[in-house]
Amino acid sequence: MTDQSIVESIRSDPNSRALSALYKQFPMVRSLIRRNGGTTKDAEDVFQEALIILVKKLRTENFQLTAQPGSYLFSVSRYLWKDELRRRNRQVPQELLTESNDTEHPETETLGLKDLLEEESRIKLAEQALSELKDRCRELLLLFYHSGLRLKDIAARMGYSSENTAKNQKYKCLEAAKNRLRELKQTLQS
Amino acid sequence: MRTELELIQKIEAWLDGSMSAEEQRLFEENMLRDAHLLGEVRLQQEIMNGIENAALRQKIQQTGRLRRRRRNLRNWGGAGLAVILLTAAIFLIAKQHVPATPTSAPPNIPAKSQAPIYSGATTHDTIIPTNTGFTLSIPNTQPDSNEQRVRTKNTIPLQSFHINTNADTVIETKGGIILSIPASSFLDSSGQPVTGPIDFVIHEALDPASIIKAGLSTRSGDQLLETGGMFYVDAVQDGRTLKIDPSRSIYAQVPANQYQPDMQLFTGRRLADGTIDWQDPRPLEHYLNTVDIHQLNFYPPHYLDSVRSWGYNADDRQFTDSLYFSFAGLSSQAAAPVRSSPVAAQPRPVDYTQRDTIILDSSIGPRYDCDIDPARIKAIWNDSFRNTLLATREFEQRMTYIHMAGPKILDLYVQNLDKNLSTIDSMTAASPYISGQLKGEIFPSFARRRDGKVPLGIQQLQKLNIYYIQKTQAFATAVARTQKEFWDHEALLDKKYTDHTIDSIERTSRNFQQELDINFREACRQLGYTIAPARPTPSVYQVKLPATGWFNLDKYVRTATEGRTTLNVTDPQTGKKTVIQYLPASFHPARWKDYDRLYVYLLPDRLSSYMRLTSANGSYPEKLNVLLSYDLVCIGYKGGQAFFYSKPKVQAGDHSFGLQPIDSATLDIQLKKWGNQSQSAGLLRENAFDRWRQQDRPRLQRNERLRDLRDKMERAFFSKCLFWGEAEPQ
Repeated sequence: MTDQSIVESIRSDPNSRALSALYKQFPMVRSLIRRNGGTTKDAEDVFQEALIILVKKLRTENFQLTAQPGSYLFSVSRYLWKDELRRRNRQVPQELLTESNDTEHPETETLGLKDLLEEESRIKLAEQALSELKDRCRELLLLFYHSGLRLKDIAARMGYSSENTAKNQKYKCLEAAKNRLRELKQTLQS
Repeated sequence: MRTELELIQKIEAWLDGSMSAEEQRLFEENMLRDAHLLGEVRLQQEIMNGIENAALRQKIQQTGRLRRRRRNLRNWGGAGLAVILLTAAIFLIAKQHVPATPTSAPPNIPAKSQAPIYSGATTHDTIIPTNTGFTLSIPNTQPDSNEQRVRTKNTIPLQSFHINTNADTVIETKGGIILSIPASSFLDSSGQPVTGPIDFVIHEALDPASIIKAGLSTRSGDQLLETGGMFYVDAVQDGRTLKIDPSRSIYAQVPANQYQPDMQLFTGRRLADGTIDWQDPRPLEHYLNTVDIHQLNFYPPHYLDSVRSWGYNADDRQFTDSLYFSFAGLSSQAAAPVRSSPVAAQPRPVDYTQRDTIILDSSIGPRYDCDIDPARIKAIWNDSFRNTLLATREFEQRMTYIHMAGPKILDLYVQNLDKNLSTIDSMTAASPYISGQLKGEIFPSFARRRDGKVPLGIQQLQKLNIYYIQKTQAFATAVARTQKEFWDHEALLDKKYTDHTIDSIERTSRNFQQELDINFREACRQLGYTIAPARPTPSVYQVKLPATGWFNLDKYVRTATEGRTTLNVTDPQTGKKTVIQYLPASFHPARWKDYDRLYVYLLPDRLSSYMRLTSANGSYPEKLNVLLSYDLVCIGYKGGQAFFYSKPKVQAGDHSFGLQPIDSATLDIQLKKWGNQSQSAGLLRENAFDRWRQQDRPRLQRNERLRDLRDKMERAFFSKCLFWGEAEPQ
């Protein structure tokens, strides 16, 4: 798959073929992170995060990808790891501090990552709230908003007696998620 | 819906832009004024973003090859042994040279004659499809000399992994080989387990260019091989070569663009001239991917289509399950749901011509066995069998035909979960329990696919086999008992109808006999007989009587009583006349059309029971015997409300009257007042029955539908069992 076709297929719908093409970049990110005090698990987490950012960026209308997707992933991963090290109160190695000058791995600042990261941390909190829901609730929400399945099929698959029950249940799950998120935010502030 | 939920719904509509322009304007104005609302909207927006992220993350995690394969690793365990592998390669031998492999295919199944040449080349742009690739356990061979390691190292770039032997490790090479190395799988030269970090080294030559560059040949003896790639692995700690613990296993997955069922694993031996000879071919293990077993379809073929065509919701899994599994234990419950209700006491004719048409074209061949008992399906279609051979798409494909082949074949699959699917396919093709197309084409063609296995420990296998047998019996018994209890209970309720019918018949005939008796006595009196002779009963009609007098007279009386016509005869012997008068009366309840049910009863004073009149367009005609006096009782129902009218000693002629509402307790009291004791008891019984029947109607309708559905199911899916009985279990 060429970079162009990856970008296009992610724009329309992130299929697994395009995603696994992007996964080719993982070994690079992994070695970067392992060189700089992280484990493979850290590398996976960071890489996933970077992939999510890239996919979402590609889906926003006015986003122009200035670098190759692979380079973008690498840069974002590097930035994320640097941020994570700071969060863990660990020293940031020199390799991460020096912004590279080669065009293949552009400056993180030019990618506007700082704002992005703040936004992401808010979303991650929401994700956490969701992850604390009951499995069934979370599955219903994911199916409902991101599976492309019809309500009828979702109701059948989840074993709800009617579409209305499923829909009602969905609102209850949304409510539970909102309440949890509200709590999480309050604990953060206090 | 609660207000909180309504708000959420509203916010959602705003977020996804599905509000009308007016609604939107209002909503936005509210938002500006109401900080709380604004906060709620923001919160919900964040949740929606979170959901998007979570969905994306799920997808990405699914896609991540590393993660997926790491997950597979958990399923790999089990068999396998290995010592440090020296050089191994996967090869496709030209088919005619394949020695009889210990895999599945029996000799009578020809392998695909023109297999495409396998290209071992992978490039960076190649995506490895998720379900292809070879999984192999690295074989047990002797370590080679240091010299060879060095030489190989010089020719193919080395990939070194620093791994910790205290933990399970998965590594992926640049070429895409995945190695899963369980903790503590290495021994040192003295056979002691190795702890701590070691270096794991791989040289891989997966594409022709690397193979040539490395000077590796693809010869096995005199035969040329098609390579699927070669690789070399080595493990070293502090410069010492390690062995793989034979009780552990290292698994390798080698990427393949296209899965070739005939690939085998060869072990390389360096010859004196420096070339490598590939020896000791072993079949590869091809592991099948398991999926959520609940997402698979183990129903009989066309089951869901049929359910849909009968007008039921085939997408409702709970319904389709309960319907199908209600046939568990088929043979023992086959007789249960016969129609016992006299309301619809039609024996249901079984359409024998339909027996074979729905399940499959009879050209596929006769079936030796009965249909599969749903109890068996229930026993396998659950979490106990997840991560087994049954939880694969490959098995699902076979399931359609297993339904046609019968329970013996299902047993074959369930009891051989540790084998390659293709092995069981071959066993099935050779089974005496199938024939025709199933034997000649379908199962042999499954066998040729060479579908592999899902690793399963022997203990788990035994446990599942026992589970299968026990659960099948348990489900069958439980369902059969539940079914029987249900239909027994229904039969008990249905019996009320029979009882009522019998009661009504008895009442009518009792009335008739009593009235006949009264008329007869009156006729005797008029004719001047002081002692009434024994009145012949209907059975006596066949007897020829020598004296015709009584006989004739009696016949007249009987005819008059039966037809309720006025009797006016002269006794030919005495010349005396006898007259028994019946006078017409007619009863007209007001607004008779308004009532759901309307009953008009006459209670004759000298008879022990009552008469229920039948209506003709709101008019209830009857002929009154002048010898008797009659009380009138009328009961109507509108919805649940009862209405009542009564009048003592009605005379012949037309009667119009209106009914008054009455509660059921008062009605019972009223009914008790009327007529003699046995009449009022009868009326109460009749009224109670009527109320009960009204409540019972949904039950009857439901049972009617149920029986209808069961009939259809039986004809479509269980015709054989119901007529032949299931073959002996196990």
